[in-house]
Amino acid sequence: MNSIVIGLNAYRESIRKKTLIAFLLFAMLVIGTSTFLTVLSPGEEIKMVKDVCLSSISFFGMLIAVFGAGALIPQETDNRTIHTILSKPMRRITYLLGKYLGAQLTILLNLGLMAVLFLVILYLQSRRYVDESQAPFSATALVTMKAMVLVFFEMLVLSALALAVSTLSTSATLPVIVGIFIYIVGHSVNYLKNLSEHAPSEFMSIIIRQFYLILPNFSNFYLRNQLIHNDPYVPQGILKLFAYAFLYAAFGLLIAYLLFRKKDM
Amino acid sequence: MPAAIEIINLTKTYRSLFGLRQVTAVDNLNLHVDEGEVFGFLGPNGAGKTTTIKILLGILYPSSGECKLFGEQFTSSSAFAPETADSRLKASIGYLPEGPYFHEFLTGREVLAFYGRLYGLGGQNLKKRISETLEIVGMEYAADRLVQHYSKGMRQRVGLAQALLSDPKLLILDEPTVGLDPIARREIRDLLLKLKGLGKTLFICSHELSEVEMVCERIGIVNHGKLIKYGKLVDLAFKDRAVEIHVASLSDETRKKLEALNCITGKHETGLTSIRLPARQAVYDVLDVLKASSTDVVEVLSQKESLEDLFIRTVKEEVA
Ligand SMILES: Nc1ncnc2c1ncn2[C@@H]1O[C@H](COP(=O)(O)OP(=O)(O)OP(=O)(O)O)[C@@H](O)[C@H]1O
Ligand SMILES: [Mg+2]
Repeated sequence: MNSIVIGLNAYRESIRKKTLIAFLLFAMLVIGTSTFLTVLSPGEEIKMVKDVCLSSISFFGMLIAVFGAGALIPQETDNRTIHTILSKPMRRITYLLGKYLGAQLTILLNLGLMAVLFLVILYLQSRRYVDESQAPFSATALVTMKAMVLVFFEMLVLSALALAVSTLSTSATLPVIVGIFIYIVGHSVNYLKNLSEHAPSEFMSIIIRQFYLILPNFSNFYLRNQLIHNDPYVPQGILKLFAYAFLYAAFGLLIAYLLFRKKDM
Repeated sequence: MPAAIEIINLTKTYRSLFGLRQVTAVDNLNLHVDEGEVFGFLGPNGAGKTTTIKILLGILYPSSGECKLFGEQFTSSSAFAPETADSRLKASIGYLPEGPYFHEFLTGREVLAFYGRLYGLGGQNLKKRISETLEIVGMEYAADRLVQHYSKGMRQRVGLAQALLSDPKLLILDEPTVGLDPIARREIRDLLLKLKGLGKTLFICSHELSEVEMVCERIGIVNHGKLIKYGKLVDLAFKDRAVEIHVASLSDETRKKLEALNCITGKHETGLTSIRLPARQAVYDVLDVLKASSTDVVEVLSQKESLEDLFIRTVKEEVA
């Protein structure tokens, strides 16, 4: 119960944060202006729009997730509200889960707004170029929704890891940097795998391998090709990907708990 | 009846990340506060008062030693301990933090609603409790304004209201009257006395010694994390009380006799001659001398040491 109280409070706090609003507005701007890209290459237009929109939703979604989740605890530590809160009948795990829940609400709201704009643009595009060879809008919408859901799954992981790092930190800087790092590496895991096989030295190869073995592989959560080809088929299966993300997020929260459990506030 | 607060051999050492710098903020502290008692926890800046309070509340973990509240200890350090025991214990404690700070985007009423919900209060119950506590601290008039725009004293009052929400048996107050105007100070003091009348246990940390004197029965003075004075205020303040005798005038012969008794004589601003006694025990000897010389005794003053004097003397003695 208390997790929900904490979560709603964190959500209320987050949605008035200037950084997060700025990210959202900027993402919306990029998504909105992507429509004009079509002038450059009329044949490729829809592909371009989809590519730009998905990558900016993923990127800004990530920023919102790591800034949102990573700032919650350092902020309350800094202004000392955490003392009053932890003196209330509540365990630290409840507090952590509450903050995590609040971060998810924030992420969902922001992703939701971006997704709606994305869908609106796709819809307008589909109206503008009525083309027999094009798939109907409903098919596009279905893949888009799936892509958005997978972006959210990714954010479940990233926000949990940012929260874990933030328990060690007095400001949001460290969790944000670690979050961005994990995002970038997580998206290039396949590339890293390749790299480790062709590394110049055995030592390098081992180091690189540790990264892709430990870090989540986000490339499966990025439905770029499916989106461009209007192909709703997700090879790994949405449920499996959810389980994967869930385990990673649970792992992140477990680390967060272990770090936070005995921490002096 | 178990003590409301029992602190046993408590030590807390703050360590920097790699243990390079260490500060022992609380050093082998032993203390107990009975139920229904008003205890003043005093000490100079950085003495370890806030640290002790945080350990009492389970916000900080001790390096060694333990704290018991109403004979119980928090169990939350173990991951799977049932929450109910801790919750019950925490619900019986109200805490006013030092320089309280709240979520700026909420109104005073919303802040109380937030904390009230954490106590498991809800619906009409919560509403009722919020308006009761707002009334107690005199903040109904500003309850629907944003905390952001509150003055220092208003925050302090909301902090007190928040501590009173669960109608706790024990109140731990870290500098309750700091930043308040004289009227508010008086009101808070009256409130503390009222709470005392209701049988609550109060643990007050404060630098306002004249206020502590008016409210507290027993005090403890800490310095560098160690307890250096501890006991009933009356005992501490009267044990070394000074006695001064004022007389109309003094003959040289009598003056010499008095000085032989280690008295200090001088002119008082009223025009009288003052005789400061070295110790309370000397009073009969001095009076004998005065009687023998038929000196006109105007007044005999027994001065209780003010808490401020006691405090400063104790801390200075400790340093010496
Ligand atoms: N988080 C911390 N990390 C390291 N040292 C700390 C920390 N908090 C407090 N200290 C140190 O512990 C000592 C005791 O601090 P504490 O806040 O308990 O004092 P206090 O008695 O409440 O003082 P004041 O009257 O000024 O409020 C101080 O030397 C302080 O510098
Ligand atoms: Mg203090």
